[in-house]
Amino acid sequence: MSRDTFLSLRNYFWLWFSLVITLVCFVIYFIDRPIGGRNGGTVVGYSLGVLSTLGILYLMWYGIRKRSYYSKMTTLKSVLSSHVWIGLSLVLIVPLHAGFSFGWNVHTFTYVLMLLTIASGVWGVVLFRTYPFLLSSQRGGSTKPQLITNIYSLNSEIKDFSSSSKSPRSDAFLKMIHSLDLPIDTSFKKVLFHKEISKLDDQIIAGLLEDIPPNEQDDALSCLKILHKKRMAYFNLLRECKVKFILKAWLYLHVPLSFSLCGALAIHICSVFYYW
Amino acid sequence: MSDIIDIAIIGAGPGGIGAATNAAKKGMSHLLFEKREVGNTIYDYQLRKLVMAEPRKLPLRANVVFEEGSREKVLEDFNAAIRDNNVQVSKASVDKIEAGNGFFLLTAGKESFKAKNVVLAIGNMGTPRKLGAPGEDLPHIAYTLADPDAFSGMNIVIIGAGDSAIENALALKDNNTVSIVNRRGEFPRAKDANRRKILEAIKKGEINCFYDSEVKECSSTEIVLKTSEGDLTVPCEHIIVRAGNIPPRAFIESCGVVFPNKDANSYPRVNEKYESNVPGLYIIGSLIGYPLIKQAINQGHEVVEHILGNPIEPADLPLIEEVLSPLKLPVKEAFKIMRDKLELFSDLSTPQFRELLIDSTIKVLGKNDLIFEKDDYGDSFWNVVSGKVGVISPHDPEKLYVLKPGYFFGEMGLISGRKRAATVYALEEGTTVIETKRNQILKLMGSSESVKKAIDTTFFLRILSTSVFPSADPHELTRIINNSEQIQFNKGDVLFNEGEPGDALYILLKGSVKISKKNEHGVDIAQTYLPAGNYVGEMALVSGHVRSATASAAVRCHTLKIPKELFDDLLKSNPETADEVRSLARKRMIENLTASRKESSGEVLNFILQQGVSDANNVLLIDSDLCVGCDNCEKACAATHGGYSRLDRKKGKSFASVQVPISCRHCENPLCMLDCPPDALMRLPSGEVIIKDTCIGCGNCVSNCPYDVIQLVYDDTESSGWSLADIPLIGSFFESSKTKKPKGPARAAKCDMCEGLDGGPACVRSCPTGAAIRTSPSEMMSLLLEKKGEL
Repeated sequence: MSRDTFLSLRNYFWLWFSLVITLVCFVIYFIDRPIGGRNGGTVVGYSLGVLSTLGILYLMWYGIRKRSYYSKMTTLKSVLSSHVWIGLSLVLIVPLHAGFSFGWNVHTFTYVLMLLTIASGVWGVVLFRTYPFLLSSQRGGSTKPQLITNIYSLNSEIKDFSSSSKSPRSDAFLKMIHSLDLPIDTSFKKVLFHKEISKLDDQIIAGLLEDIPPNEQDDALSCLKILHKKRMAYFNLLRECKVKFILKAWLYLHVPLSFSLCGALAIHICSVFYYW
Repeated sequence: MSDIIDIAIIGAGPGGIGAATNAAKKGMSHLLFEKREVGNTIYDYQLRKLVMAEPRKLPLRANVVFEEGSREKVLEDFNAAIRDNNVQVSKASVDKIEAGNGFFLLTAGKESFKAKNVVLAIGNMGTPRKLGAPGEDLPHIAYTLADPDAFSGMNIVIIGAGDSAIENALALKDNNTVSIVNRRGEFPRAKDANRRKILEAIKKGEINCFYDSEVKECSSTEIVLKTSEGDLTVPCEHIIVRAGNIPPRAFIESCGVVFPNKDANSYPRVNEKYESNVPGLYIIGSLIGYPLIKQAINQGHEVVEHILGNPIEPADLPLIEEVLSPLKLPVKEAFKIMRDKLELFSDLSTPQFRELLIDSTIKVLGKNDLIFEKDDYGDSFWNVVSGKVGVISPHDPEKLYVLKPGYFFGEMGLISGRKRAATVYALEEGTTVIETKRNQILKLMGSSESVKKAIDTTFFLRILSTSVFPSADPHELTRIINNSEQIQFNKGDVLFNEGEPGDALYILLKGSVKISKKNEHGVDIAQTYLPAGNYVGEMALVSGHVRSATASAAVRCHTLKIPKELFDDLLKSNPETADEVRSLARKRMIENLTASRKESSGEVLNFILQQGVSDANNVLLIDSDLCVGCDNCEKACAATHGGYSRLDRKKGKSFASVQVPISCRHCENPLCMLDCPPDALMRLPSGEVIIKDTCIGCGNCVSNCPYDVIQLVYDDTESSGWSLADIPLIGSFFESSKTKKPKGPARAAKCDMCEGLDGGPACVRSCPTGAAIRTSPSEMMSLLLEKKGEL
């Protein structure tokens, strides 16, 4: 069974493909010695410009391909592979097109936008390669709904400890629950900026059990175990939500940037032809 | 009433209406008994449900209009037929039919009726079990829930703890105060998913549940419950009783009708005039195995003609002609040939035989034409009509078994649901075979003891003679089979335990068995599993030692248990066979020793067995180490399947970061196929189980699937308003507040492996990181072992 990732697909086919194209561009660039120096206006410059534009259009096509669910053309995974490696190659091919001349103008602005888009893409690649593993390893094989159900059932167990017993609980017992039982809050702010929930060490446990009357000690210990479980489950849930959020959030940078890039690119091309 | 009427028809379903309208038209004195509603089964359908008119090819011959349409339209047509033909309807509930001197005496409570002929057309749904407490006949007590939206702000009490009770409670809980009365302390009969949902709703306080409670009495505003803590009065304006149905068999038997066997699925035997063993008592419709509306209407029409003594050709004649056309003979002659040649079916009544023919295809083959190949998927059943057929031995390609006319094959795939066990081809030019659909044969096995016995015996005989006792005398083996007992095991039941003395050999008809051994800590470690068509337990019999491993049912299993005594007898009387059996058993023992597994692989196997994947043909997996949660798999599935995703990525268990999401596994032995009235579920030759367009949306497959992968979908949905979730990109941060209200007829839907879409399943092709894969159980095993670092 092929366990290639989208980066290493078919022995890094798209990496090699992009490397070869980039290399060929470099060779042509250095062989060519146009009058007036290398720039975007020479034959090679124009050609590299056309190539880069086609590259960018190909990258933009990914958004369409992703939603073409009937498409028979390979798998989305291999399209993503080419998307990543071709995208990266543009970092080098575009400066060749410009003859490495930069300035405070719309042309360089377009390049900067492209770099930002690619940088956000690289961030996405890093997230795609690392975060799923992070998710699957921390939740120990349970999915998000299972985590939530788990918290629900722990919650009701804690409730049983505090209320359903035949004799009312001592204040110290209730205080222990109160101090450790965290309210479940999955608000945007909480998810993004939560701190690690401290583990209960022996010292804390001893401190909490101190004031509890002897007849409740056993119950208190069992209750502590459940409280601890719930705290950990809650923390896992927060982490899960945060990771999931970040896994989606990068696209809200990458996609708008790429559309702005297209806008800037259009202006760049129009202005070049206008001043020709 | 002291007059004797010509014909009493019990049940105003399609069959009863067909009979009554014809009787009325012919001027017979008649009475149509219906204690509930006309077309009651259809009446109980949910509102606006589409009723299909299958089989399309079958002409309708009756004074009843019936065509595909909504529940309401069909019921209106039925009522119009009764009205227009002046059918006499009685609301009396007939509870006894006695044959007397030239007439039948029908008792309905205190009333009694006399009739020369009786037509039983009560269907096989049975009668819903009543409340069994004072007040049970009050008008606010219902046995079904057609339209949950019709109730709001009411106190509703639901009696029962099965799936239908739970589904009704869940459907009503949002707009009403719902209580559920459960005789037990839990919900053991319900499907896992329903049990989870109801327990959650009870926990959240959305539904009140009275456990260990029964109804004591009820009035129009209150219900009194007998609970473990004394009587309790609960306000209620509507009661739904979902306490199951009383099957009609006991009633039919009380009329003197004989069933062929004790099997719950068996049908009473009738002759070609639909007359039962009680002269003058006729039975039609789904009671004798004809579940489709059109068939029942036709039979109703025909039965009256038979009673009048009018010769009438059955309505299915054009269909029979079509089936027999490859024989290129006049239809009567061809029919007679089939009747004579197919010895297996010689005991069938003429209507049963016609039904069998309609669901069959006749093929005339050339020499060496392939019929099917080993490892093909197929569950149809074949009979040799003329010529010769060759079966290549699955164990020895040089060995050929020859089947002559009257023999049958394909029973292995039919019974076990697994791939074809051998390659079969025609040996002579002009060899004629007849292929019959799986459901038809299963139906016949349920109604005819002789067919069932012949097929089962051959199944066992072929396993025994090819694998266990290659050179034993077939008569000897048949004797063993006839003296052995068929035993069923539920999932988890133990066939035998490690360390016990060997008392029997088991042959697996259906399901699969897990073999496990205890490690030094006494923990059970799965070693392997054996699918249907295999046998277990011969080693202890041969060696005389105790059982070396435990065998338990991985899924529900059917087995044949051959006791040690019979096994020993055979070995004693055939020394040659004994040597062969011993050497085969020794070979298996050695194989087992060398394949002894590590504990972690036992864990992996355990997970696979728990998930029921061992019974799968192809399973969807999500590698959690790669999944970025983009949901493109679900989106792709929905986009290619009418807006409904047939997989649920977020649900399903995982192990070693491999998740088994809710999606069809295309089981080897699909439980969904068990009970499909229009036979819409089928397996493609490539192994996929699909649902054809003939689905009527009855939901049987939805409740039969143990993996919750089938859902009911609607062609139209009514969506209301616009929500933030509709904005591209940003929308995904908002939950859609849209409520999708189902409209139009329901259909069952599940994964079809994107049949007809080149390039494989859309979910897999649309996964950007390659996390979603469709794979076989053995590849799943290697993936899991790889994840556990074992490979």
